Amino acid sequence: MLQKKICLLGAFSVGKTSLIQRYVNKLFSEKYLTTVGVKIDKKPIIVGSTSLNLMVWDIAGEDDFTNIRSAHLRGLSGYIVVIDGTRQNSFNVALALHERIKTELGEVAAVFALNKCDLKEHWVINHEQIRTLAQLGYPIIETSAKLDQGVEEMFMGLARQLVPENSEA
Amino acid sequence: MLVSAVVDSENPIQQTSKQQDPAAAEPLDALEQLRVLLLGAEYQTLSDLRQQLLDRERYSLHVAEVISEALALRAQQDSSLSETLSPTIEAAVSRSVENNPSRLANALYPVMGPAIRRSIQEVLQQALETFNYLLEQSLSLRSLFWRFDAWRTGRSYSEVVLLKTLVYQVEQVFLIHRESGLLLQHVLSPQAISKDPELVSAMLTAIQDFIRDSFQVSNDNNLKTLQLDELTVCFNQGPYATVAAVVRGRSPAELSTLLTEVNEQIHRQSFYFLKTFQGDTAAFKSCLPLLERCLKTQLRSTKKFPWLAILALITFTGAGLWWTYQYYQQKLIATEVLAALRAEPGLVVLGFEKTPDGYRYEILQDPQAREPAAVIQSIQSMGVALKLNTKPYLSLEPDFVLARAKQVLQPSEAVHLKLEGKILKVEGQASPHWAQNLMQLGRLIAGIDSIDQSKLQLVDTAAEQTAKNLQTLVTQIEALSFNFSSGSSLLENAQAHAQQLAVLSLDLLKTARLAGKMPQISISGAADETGSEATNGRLAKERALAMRDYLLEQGVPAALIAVPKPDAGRRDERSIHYQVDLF
Ligand SMILES: Nc1nc2c(ncn2[C@@H]2O[C@H](COP(=O)(O)OP(=O)(O)O)[C@@H](O)[C@H]2O)c(=O)[nH]1
Ligand SMILES: [Mg+2]
Repeated sequence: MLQKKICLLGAFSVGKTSLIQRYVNKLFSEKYLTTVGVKIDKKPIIVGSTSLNLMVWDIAGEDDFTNIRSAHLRGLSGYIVVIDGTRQNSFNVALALHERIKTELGEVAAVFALNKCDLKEHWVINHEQIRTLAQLGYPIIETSAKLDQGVEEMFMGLARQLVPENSEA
Repeated sequence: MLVSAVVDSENPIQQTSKQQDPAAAEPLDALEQLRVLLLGAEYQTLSDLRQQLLDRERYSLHVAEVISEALALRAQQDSSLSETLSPTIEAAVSRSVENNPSRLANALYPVMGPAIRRSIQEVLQQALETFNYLLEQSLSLRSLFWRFDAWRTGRSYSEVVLLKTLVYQVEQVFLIHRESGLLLQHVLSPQAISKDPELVSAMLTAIQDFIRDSFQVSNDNNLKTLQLDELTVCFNQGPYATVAAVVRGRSPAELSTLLTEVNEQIHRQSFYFLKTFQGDTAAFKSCLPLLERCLKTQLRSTKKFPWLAILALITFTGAGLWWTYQYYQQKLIATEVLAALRAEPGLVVLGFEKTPDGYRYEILQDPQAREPAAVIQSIQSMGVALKLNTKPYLSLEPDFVLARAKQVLQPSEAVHLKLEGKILKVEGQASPHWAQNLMQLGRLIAGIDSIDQSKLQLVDTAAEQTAKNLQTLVTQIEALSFNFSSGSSLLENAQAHAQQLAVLSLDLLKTARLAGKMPQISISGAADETGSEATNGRLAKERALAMRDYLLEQGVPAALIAVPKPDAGRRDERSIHYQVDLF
């Protein structure tokens, strides 16, 4: 049984908590988030022939990404950067966060999630921006926590990067 | 460097050419000379070294010099040495045991004995403590309260007992990867329940970070304990892993030392895996025994001397001893009784058997023998029930035959009975009547075949006695008299006299018959001198007749009484006299 610590990052209110809630079996109530600033959930997942336990860290935070404690990022095997398609700022925060982690932890597995795809008509993120994102070389997945779209794929996209290649059937 | 490489590559060629053509020795020497010229003394050293490496013996000598230092150095660096050596050592040990088991046994002897003794002691101690604990729990009033408490609070009884008797219990121990907060291993005490330990492990790490950040302590300051009412989480932070113990109750001081030791050992043992941890926890299985060492429980009552258990043991042993003592005592009594009954003449013990509370004896008893109960009266029965079932029988023991004869024959004091074999010898004096009885009954007595009465003198004592009695009666009757008033033949107050005479006369009749005689009582009346001769004669006659009538009235048989003519013998009396005649 492999265990991996992963983290959902992104600007305030992009839907990190909502995405996790769609996905995991809960032990701790949401109030941990506000009290401790962190909530951890577990998601067992199977990639090929490898079973994997994702320990999913949800971090509460202001829009200011520098607020994220380094302690929470230590030992991270991968992360999901969540962008709210309806908010321009969330894109900038996402890129900055990605940059910060790369310098802090080096190269680790990552996925970009374009959330709130149910509100696509209100999206302000344009194709140019998405192409910039794609050039970073990580999977980009459109998600909607509201309609439960792309959530499984988002986690799977990360999990695949976490499993050693030879064990993937 | 370069030169030596050249040398190495050239050498084989030289050797082959040397073998093929001795004339080619010339250029070889030249080459040697060139080498010596170029390298000087160094060449000598080099070839010497080379020689050392190739020569097995010399190489061994060199290695021997450093081998222990080398081993020590390597052992300091990592644990690979023990891993490499252990199969060899294991094989060597088993080989040694196969070849000569006693050698290893002798070597181990000084440590084995104490170790075995100690482990036995520990097991016994533990068993005693557990037994005592159970006894205490099941007996005490306290346990009732606890049951009530369990019922009231809806918890299980064992949980309540644990809470109340617990000083502390280490319920769970987490081994946590420090950096990622991922759970490496987890152990749980049997009674405890654990929610998702992987999540708890991560959350514990997050909380540590949270506290460290919130109160701005330096990064070296680690969280040591988290404390709730009756629950404590103790942490020990190592460079790569954290050991966290969840303790219910009062967390003991020595626990933190234990956690430190365990964590240090885990770091030593699994240093490589900790350093390169990528989420695969399988490598940390080997840490389980270490973590389990931390799962400790201390109960309040463990230090107590196990009084109850000891008391129970003493009681059991005492009861056992008492029972054994009783058993042997009973047996002793039973045999004593048996001996007494067997020794008693006239009793035959057919058999005896054990009853639930004592013994039962089947006995044959001669009517002449003592009662069996009386025989064993002197033996203290100590509460053992002794039942004696008797059946009658006739003993042929001489004593009993004799006793029986005496009972049947009722000999007088003048007779002496003796038994010789089956012959009853009768000596002394006896009445013919008794002798007749003897001949009739004697032979019917069991154990007597014949009777020898040659020394028996027959004396008819009965006839003598009768004659004597008869004489007494005659004297008594003849002594009686009755007085009339002057000139009267009227019987006044004659009843007592008449009755006395009636009794005596009946007695006389009976006794006389025994002697084969017939009695007759003559009544003779008398008168005093006052009247005429004729009157007096008549008066005497009347008086005698009046008495006769009265006596007949009183029941004296008529055949006994006769009234003779008045005789003039007694002249001075107004009375009646009697005279008895026997025919
Ligand atoms: N329409 C829509 N709303 C979403 C979606 N995901 C999250 N939200 C809403 O966005 C708000 C913030 O979500 P939250 O999960 O708390 O964001 P967080 O701060 O990143 O954890 C909430 O009101 C959610 O209902 C989505 O996929 N579609
Ligand atoms: Mg949130």
